[in-house]
Amino acid sequence: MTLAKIVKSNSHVEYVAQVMRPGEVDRAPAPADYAFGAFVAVPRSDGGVAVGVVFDTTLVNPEFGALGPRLTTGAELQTLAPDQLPETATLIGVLLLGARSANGEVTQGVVAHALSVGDAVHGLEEAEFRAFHDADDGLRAAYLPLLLAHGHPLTSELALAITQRLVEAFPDHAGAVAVLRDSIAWRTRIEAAG
Amino acid sequence: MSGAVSVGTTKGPGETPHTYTMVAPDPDDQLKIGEFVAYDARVDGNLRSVLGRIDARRPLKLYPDAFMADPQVAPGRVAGLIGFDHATPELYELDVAVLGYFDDALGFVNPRVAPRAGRPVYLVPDDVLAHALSRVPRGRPGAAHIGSLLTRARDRVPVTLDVNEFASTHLAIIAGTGAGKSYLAGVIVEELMQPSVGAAVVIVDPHGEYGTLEEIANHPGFRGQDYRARTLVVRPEQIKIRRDLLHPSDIYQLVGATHGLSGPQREVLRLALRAVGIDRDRRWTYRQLTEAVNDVELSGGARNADDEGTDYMLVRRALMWRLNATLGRQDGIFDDYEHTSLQELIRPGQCTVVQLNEVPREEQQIIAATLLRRSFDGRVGTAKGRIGSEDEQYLPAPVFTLVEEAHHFAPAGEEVPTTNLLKQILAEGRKFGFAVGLISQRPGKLDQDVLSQCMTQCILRVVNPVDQQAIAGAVESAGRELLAELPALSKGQAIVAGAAVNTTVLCRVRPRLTPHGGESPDVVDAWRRARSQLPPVDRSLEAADPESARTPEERLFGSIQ
Repeated sequence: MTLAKIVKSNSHVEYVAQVMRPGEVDRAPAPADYAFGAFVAVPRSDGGVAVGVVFDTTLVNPEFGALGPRLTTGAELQTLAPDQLPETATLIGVLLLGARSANGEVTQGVVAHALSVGDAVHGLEEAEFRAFHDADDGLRAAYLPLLLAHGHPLTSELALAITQRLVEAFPDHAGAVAVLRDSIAWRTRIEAAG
Repeated sequence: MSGAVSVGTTKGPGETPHTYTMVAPDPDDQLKIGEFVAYDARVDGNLRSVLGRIDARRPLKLYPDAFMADPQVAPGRVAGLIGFDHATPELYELDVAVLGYFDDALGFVNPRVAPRAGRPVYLVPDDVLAHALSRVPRGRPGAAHIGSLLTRARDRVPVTLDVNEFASTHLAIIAGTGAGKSYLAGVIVEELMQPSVGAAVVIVDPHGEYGTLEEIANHPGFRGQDYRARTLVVRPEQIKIRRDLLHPSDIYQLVGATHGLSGPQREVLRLALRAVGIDRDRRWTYRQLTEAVNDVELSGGARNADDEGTDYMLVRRALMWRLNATLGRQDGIFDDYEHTSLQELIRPGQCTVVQLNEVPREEQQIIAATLLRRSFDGRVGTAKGRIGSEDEQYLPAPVFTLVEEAHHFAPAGEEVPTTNLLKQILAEGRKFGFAVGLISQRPGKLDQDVLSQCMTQCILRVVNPVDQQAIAGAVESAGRELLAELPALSKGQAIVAGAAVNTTVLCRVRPRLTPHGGESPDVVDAWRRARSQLPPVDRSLEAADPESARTPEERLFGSIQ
C-alpha cells in the first residue's frame, strides 16, 4: 500500500513525504500505517527498494492563523469561491537506513542513490522487515550508529523503538539487542536526566 | 629486519629518554610484557635493528562497559549487531625500553635517539634474541643454561648466565616462599657441575634442601672424559673446627650470641684470648682458655674487683657460663684437635653441601662465618702465594659459595658473625676468585649493601611490598616496570638481571636434572597418617556416656539453654 510520496529532502538520507489523502489512493492510510518507528520502502527504478523509517510527523494546515474577519459564511464561500478547498496535509520524516537490491542483497547504512520527488513510499511488510535485518551470521542492524548520529531530538527514542521491535522479532538474538537497547536507554534517559 | 612481519608501529618518544611508545593491534597476544621487539633505523650510516623490551601495555580501544552488561552476550556480538565485525578490535599502546642494536664486541649500543613515528616494529626472531640476550651461547664453556625466555615457547630462546661473571661478581637469588628459589639455585649448581665448568661449589644449607644434589654423581650429564662431578653432603657433626683457628671476632660473636657480652666480660675474654696466644697464632685448648679466664689479671692488677666496684668473680662466672654454652659444648663442632681440611671440603668438580638444619641459628652463623673466613683466607693466601699446597687451606681454584637464607647471615640493621665477612667477600672476592651466591626469601631483611653488591640477580615471585621495595632499591639493572611484574610471576619464572646477562630477561627456569629437595611437605597427608596411628574411636561409648556425645564446645561452655 502506498503511504506517501516524497516531496522534499533535507539531506542525502533524510526525506519528507506527504501522506496520501483520500481520493489520491483507494484507501487512505491510517495514522497507524505511518506511525513513529514504522519501517517503509521506496521502490527504485532498478527493481530494488530503499528502506527507511518514519522518525517524525508534521501536520500542514494553511488555514491555521487565517482567523481574520470574513464577509461571507462558509456556505457562501462554496458559491462565491468554488475552487477554494481546505488543503491540509500530513508530512512524515523518513530516514533512509539502507537498501535491498533486486536480488535481495541488503545494504545497511548510507545508501548511494538518492530518492526523487514523487517516489512512492510503501509500508514494509513484516517478512521484508525480517529479511532486511537477517544477515548470514545472524541479526544485523548496522544502521543504528547512523541513526544515533543523526542529531534529531527523536532519534534516540527511535533507536529504542527499533531495538525493542528487534527483540520481539528475533528472539534468538534478544540478548545482544537488549544489551544495546539498555545501553541506549541509559544514555538517553538516565544520563540525560542526571 | 629482513623477512620479519611487522606487529606494530612506532608512535613517538616515551616518558623517559630511553623509551618509546608503539601502537599495535596484537590480535595474537604476542606482545607480552618482557617481550623483545625491534625497529630498523640508520645509525651512523648503517642500517641497524634496534632492540627494545616491552615494559608496559595499555589499551587504547576497548568495548564500552555497557556492552558487557550481559555475561551471556559477548561484547563483540553486540558490536557485530551494529555492523562492527572486527574479530580483534582492540588496540594497544606499548612502552618499549630501548636496549639498542647488538654489537658482538660492545653488547647493546643505544642509538640515543627515539624512533621516528610510523616505523614498523617487528618481533625479534628467536635466533637473533638467543644471540643477543645471553653473553655466552648455550653449549659453550662458561654458559650456565638456566631456562628459556618466558615470552616465547619453551626452549625457543635459551637463557644462559655467564659463569665467569656471576662466579666473580656474585649472585643473588631472591624469591618469596615457594616461588622456586632453591630449585633455581639447584639448576645453577647443576650448570656449575657440568663437565665444561667443573666448579668448586660450597652450599650453606640451613634447611637441608640440597641433599638431592648427591644425584649429580650418578647422572651421566655430569660426567666427561676425565671428569666426574661429585657432591659431598656434610652434616654439622662431620665438621670439626679447631677452636684455636677461630678469629677473635668470631669468638666474641659466638660467646655473646644469645645473652650478649658486657663490657667487663668482653675485656676478660679479650685478655684471656691474648693470654693463650691468639694474637701470636699459638695453639691453645679450651681448657687453657678457661684457665686463662679464671687467672687473667685485669689492668691495675685488679683481680676480683676494680675501683668502680665491678665484681670480677661474677664477671668470670658469667663469662664461663657463656663459654661453656657455646665454644665449650661437647657436642658442638668446635674441637681442640680435630679440624676438617678445607682441601677436602672444597675442590673443583665438587659440590659440598653443608647441611645446618637442626643447628641453632647462632651456631649456623658461626659455622658459616668460620667456613667462609677460612676459605676466603685460603683463596687470598693461595692467590698471593702465602699458602702452599701442603697447607689444608690451600685452595688453588676459584670458589663459589651459595648461602641459603642469606638474611640470617647478613641481616639488615643487625651485625652477626657473617655480616662483615660477607661484605668483605663481596667487595674483594672478585680479585681472588671467591664469589658468593646469596639466596633469600626476605630481601627486606637482608642488608641492602650486601644485596646491592651482587651484580647478577635472579628474582622470582615476591609478593611482600617491603621486599619488593628492597629489591627495587638494591637492584638497579632491572627496570622498575619489569619489577612491577614480581607479584604476577608464577612458580619457576624469574627476572634475570645484571652482569651475567646482556639485558634483563624474563626467564622460565628449566627442569632440574637432579630431584628437587625443597618441596613443601604434604601436611594433610602427614595429619592423616598421624591420625591413623591413634586408637580407633569407640562409638559405643557415646551411647553409654552422654559426656562423650557432647561437642567440645558444650564440654567447655556447657549446653546452651
